[in-house]
Amino acid sequence: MTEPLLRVQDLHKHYREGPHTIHAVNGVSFDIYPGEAVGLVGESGCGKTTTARCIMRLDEPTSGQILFDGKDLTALTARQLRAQRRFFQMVFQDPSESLNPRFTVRRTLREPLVLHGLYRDEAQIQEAVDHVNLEREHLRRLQHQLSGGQKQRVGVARAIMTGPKFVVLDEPTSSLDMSLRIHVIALLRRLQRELNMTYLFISHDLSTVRHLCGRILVMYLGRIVETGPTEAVFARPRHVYTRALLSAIPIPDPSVRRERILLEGETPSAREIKPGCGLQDRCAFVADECLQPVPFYDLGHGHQAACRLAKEGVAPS
Amino acid sequence: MSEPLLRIRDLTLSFPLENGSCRILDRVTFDLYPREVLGLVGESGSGKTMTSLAIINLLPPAAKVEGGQIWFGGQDLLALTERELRKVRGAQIAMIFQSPRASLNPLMRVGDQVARAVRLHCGGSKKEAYEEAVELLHHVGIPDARTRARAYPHQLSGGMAQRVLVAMMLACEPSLLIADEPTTGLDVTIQAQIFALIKEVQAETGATLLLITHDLGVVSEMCQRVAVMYAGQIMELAPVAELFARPRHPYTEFLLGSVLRVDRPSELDMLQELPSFSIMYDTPGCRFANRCPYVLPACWENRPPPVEVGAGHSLVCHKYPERSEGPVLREAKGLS
Repeated sequence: MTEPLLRVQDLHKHYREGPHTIHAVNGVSFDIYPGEAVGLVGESGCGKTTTARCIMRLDEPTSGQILFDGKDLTALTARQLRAQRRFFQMVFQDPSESLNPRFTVRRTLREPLVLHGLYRDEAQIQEAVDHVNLEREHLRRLQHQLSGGQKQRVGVARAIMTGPKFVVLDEPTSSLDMSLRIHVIALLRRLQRELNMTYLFISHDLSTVRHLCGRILVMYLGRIVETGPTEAVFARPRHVYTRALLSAIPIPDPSVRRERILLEGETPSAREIKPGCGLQDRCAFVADECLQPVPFYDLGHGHQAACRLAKEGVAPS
Repeated sequence: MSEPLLRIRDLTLSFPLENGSCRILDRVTFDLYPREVLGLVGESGSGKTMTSLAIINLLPPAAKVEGGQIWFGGQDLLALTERELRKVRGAQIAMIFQSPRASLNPLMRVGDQVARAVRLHCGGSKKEAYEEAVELLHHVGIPDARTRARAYPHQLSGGMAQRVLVAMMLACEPSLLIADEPTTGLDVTIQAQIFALIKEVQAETGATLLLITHDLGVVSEMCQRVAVMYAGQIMELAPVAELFARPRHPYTEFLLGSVLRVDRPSELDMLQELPSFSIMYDTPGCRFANRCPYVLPACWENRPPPVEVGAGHSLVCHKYPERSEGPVLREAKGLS
């Protein structure tokens, strides 16, 4: 039985905002196995970015465990963590903000190698550039001399420099045009194959997730509401939120008529977390049991949903 | 066949460069009819936003209109003075943009902002305008409108802020609504709400809606007709079902082929990836020529006039010389 490369156990993250507490992440648990591409999806405020940042230890979890390759990341010292960092890297959402505007591409790519004592020669950098379909002549350029798509590739190249096993990608295609998205997705798929990487892909763009990820986690208000193989979740979404999310996406095909599940109102603030399902105030199918913590119901083949509509006579797992 | 509400003819717009200028809109031509929803679709840099800004002259100061007319209500909007145009803006033609918070004054309560729009474009006393504002906020689905009217923009979510802008847009029941990517940056479920709202108000008021978007799903769900733009040129225009079923322009085919659908696991390898070269702003011909898989020698030299290839379906492309009626195709050099 393969061990998971990443194990997140009961992760909680709360922020103080004056007298209020923002409950950003409320008990998130999941495993990622080597070679997988897992999508973490949800809308703004669901806690997916916070979860990613906690995994990367860019933010400190309030409670919970994060085990990477068997090691508890929350228990490592700064020095130990730095040594581990070469194995898990991140590609950030906005390359304009995450690339140093004073560095050339070459410098940006060399830096991770130098920091981890891995720099041998220019060939390593040239290889990375080739991997992401940039030209060698781009190495001389500064950030502002690159297009959005090119900057994104630099972000990806920088993340793979140290030969990581695991890469977290935070909305890498959100700022790109549709035709560029395909290029990036094709690139990520190819890299995954060639470099044997494991991905956690965070996005609100479900069509991209569908084409990149084998497994998907749907988050709402700090909790995972549904999880499973991508095709299963897309074909038979069970949690009302997943169904609403999927039905809200416009389909580019006038011949397809879809039933749309419109949720009333907006996502409540994360200041007050009620027990039970986060969707209780907006759901057309809410019942008494939804006001208590809802267990995950097993739908087979790893597909689970924390919704009474997933029950169908199967015992909670 | 009703008269068009708005006629854009040969709209040509340029920006100055260090040496020379760059023509970002090249003879853009299309009509808008009463009560319809027309989508203007293209990728970033296609000129769709500039086209809409040109209609009510909200162009950046550096932009230079080099030619063309925009006929509305018997007048050429491009020939009006700022003063005359101000009577049209807001009252007869209203617009909303993406990033609602960028369009709202952060220091003013939203109710006051809507009231101000009402007063500016429709007149009335302060009190009347404020009452109208509260009514409009309620109409666009803001709960507790009277209380919420006292909120500042930063106290509203993105979706709520966009509803405020829709309220402002409706203030004087304009006959033409222009919405430029009104849901970019908003969550998917909120996007669905906002589009449902826009569609509702358009149907209610009988206004024409010009919807600018890069999202073909939005076009499919919201629009009756659609114009496809690339690099400042209109490539094709057709009723929506017709465009999706029988795209004629190579760029349209490419665009449709590059769409990732959420309701289907499409084969990634079958999706089209075109070589991406920079846009040829200087060519006298078609700007898609350097990426077009069907390019003919004539394509570098000139563009043919629009040709009807189906009911309400027009095309600007050398690849399809067949036509039912329309101007004779100009003799192109090198066309075999």
